[in-house]
Amino acid sequence: MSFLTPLYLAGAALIALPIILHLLRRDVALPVPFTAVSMLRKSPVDRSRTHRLRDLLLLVARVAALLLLAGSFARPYLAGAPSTGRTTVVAIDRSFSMAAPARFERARALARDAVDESSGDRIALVAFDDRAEVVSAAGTAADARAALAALKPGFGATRYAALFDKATELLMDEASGRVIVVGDLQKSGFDENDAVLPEGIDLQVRDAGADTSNLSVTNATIERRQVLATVRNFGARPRTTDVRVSADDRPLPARRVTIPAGDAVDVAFDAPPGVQRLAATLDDTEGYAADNERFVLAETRTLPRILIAGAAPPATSGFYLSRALLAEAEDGPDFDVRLVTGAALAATAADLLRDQSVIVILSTQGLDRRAGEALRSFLEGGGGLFIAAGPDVDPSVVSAVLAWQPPLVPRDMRNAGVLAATDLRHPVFRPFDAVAANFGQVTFERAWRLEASPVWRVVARYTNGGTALAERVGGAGRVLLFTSDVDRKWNDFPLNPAFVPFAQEVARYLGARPPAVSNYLVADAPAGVAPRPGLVPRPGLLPQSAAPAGPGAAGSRTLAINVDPRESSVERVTPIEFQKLVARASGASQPRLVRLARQTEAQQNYWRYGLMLMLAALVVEAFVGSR
Amino acid sequence: MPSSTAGRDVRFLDPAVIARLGSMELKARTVVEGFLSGLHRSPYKGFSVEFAEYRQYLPGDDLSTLDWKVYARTDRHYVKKFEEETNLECHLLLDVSASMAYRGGAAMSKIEYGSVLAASLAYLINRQRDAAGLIEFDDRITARLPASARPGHMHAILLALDKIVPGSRSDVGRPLHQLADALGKRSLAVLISDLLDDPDRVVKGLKHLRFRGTDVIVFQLLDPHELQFPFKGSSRFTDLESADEITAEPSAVRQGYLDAMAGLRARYEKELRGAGIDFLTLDTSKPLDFALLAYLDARARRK
Repeated sequence: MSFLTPLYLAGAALIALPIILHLLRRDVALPVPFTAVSMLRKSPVDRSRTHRLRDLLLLVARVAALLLLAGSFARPYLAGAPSTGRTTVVAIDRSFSMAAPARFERARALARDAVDESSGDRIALVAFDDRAEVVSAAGTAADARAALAALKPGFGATRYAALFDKATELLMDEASGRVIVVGDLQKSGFDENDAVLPEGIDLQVRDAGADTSNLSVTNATIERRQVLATVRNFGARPRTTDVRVSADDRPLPARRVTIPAGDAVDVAFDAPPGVQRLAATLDDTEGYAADNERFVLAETRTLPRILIAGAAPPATSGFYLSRALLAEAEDGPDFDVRLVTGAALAATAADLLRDQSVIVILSTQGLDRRAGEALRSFLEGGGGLFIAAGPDVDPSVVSAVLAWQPPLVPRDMRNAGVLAATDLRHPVFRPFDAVAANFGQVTFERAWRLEASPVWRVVARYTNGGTALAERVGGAGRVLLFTSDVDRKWNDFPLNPAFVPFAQEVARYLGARPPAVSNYLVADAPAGVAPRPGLVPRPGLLPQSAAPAGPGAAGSRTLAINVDPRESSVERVTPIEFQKLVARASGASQPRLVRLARQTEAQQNYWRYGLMLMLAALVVEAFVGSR
Repeated sequence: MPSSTAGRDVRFLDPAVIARLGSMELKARTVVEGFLSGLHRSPYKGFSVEFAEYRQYLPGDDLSTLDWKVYARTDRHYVKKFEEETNLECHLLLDVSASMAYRGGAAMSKIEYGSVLAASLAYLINRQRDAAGLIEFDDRITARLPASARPGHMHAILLALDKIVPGSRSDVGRPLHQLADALGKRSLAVLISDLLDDPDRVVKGLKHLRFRGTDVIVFQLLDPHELQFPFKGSSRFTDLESADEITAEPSAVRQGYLDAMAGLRARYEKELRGAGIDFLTLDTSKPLDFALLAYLDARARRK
């Protein structure tokens, strides 16, 4: 029996208390006034055999309760019996590089030899790539051999750190342990200093690899009118191969390329615009089969949808703002902008409004109760609303349709000055950083003066102190209120170079959505997806937000899974170099023992039984004491 | 003598109720009136009265009251009507020694219970136009009120009972011998005591009293704790009178004590009955009507 916190055992000294009380209690008798005392036969207390027994029982119960209490707090546990034999972990590499011709069979034979050599030990068989899996728990050689026969290489990449973590876990409570690693000893399997094995565990390495060459499609990209496949030659001599590409399941003419030794070549294929699915393959019978193909899905670029509600024609409401939002970046505009009138907004169904990322209100003409309900529902659902003041915006209508309490009651403000960001950390102004001073070039001749209110958070002010940009939350969404107009009626802001980035940052902030990811490595494949390369359906468990609607939605229903290109390397280490690359955790044995003790104690939970027994002793004490 | 109060309203005879009442007169009146209201349905109806007049028989009248001589003379049924007799002297002897102050498991101490009993008897005696007197004693007579049937005298008795304080050691025999010569022949002596004294001296004193022609009723008052000895845990018992101490384990001495107490009571029972003395042990947690019935029974036997 060992104790996790033996200091509590000192509490057992308290048993002296009931013993002393027991000894002192001999002549304790309560005074009782009585009448017929002469009829009482003198009967000293301590001469009663029954009561001597009762007192003894009480003493035993009290001492037992105290001992059990101290023992329980000391967290007792039964340490496992010291191992009489040794445990050997035979670890076999099953990364896709092991699928090279004859390599896995060689590894299997070496592993079998290792098992045979260790037949006197308890043998655990671990298969590893970027994960380590115990395929046969510590047991007999026969179990390990049977499990070994069923193994085959997978599609993961070698990560030795995962193996050594698992081996440490398996051997932590063993007095003597050994790890035999069987694999192709790829150097790429070592990350920086993270392969660690505690001191005291014997490490043996069996090399099942061989020098080889390997061709791999390490990358593939979809451009506007072409697709590119990057082919790398990991061998020591130039190689020639045919590269084939299938774009949206339509094969393109194959191209024959020669890749210099240790070099990579980008192979371009003409392709129609809008390719969503790409599969690039090459022929390589010498190297690793799994990296001969690569799958790519065009990352769907779902543009945030901006709906601008402006005044009815012939007014030009929203012109500058829409132009600013549609300003093209390298890949075209970043927003999908639509201009409608207030009446059209009111007529838009709430469902359609929910597809919008941001709604901009530049005019309240035509906004009615139905529009208000749709806008409130839009905000509740997490949408963004941008309201810019102007001659066409009636603050009372805004307050009414959005059900703001207290209502917005701005006063007219002339010569507000220039705009100055109050909070440069706000996402709208953060990108401006050093050039935020550009706002100082615009003079705002007219604006709304807002009363100070706790519901509004001021993001920017005019130099006269009035609020320029304020934010409030509405349900799960956000509202930004710009107190001057964006149609060049109250200022020349739309003509200023800062207007375009300002408008775009406002739209980005209000329409922020998590990006959708479609391309994964085998090791990072989402739950529910088989860890093998290919184009696979997206599992239904993924969050809805990761599957954007709109153009390219078909691609968003599919995932591209590829092997880790690091595994394609043929660079290897010798067994001696391998040993050197594995760090040894000196001084890790003590924490390891403590952790083991804690785990053992937590599994056994003897302290609970101790406390239960203590309660039983107290019940006995109470029962006997009341007799 | 009936041994049960079943069928009668004993609520006002319960010591726990009586103990909460104010003056001794109120206590006595409550006990007696409550007792008599129950007695109307008892077989004791009609005693302790003397002839007053004749009345014509009505169906339902007790046939024992028919005067057959009148019937023989007149050929009509007449019943005899009675009135209370007034020539009895009753002396209430109340032990006020220290042991009577004991109260264990009852609502009243023995001396309180005895006082209420004495007051109730005095009230009952006075109601029957008999003469009642009171004698308080411990090892000697500490107070004495001679017997008298005057209404104001009963108030003096009740007042004396109201002011009783426990005395010292008891010696029941000594005052009994003193009283034997003092009491008249047609008198009735009611001794109220716990009799936790030398039984030889007590019996001798009572026999002396009886020998002088005095009828005697003895009420031995005992607390439930004295009767049952329910104590637990090691105890140091201290005598209220002698201050003697005995340390004992109650469970070990209980049986011996109960046997001794039963033996004492059996001895009193045997020797006093043999001398023509009524003896009754009263549990101070029980109603008082047993005692009143015992008195009325003795009163009836005197006729």
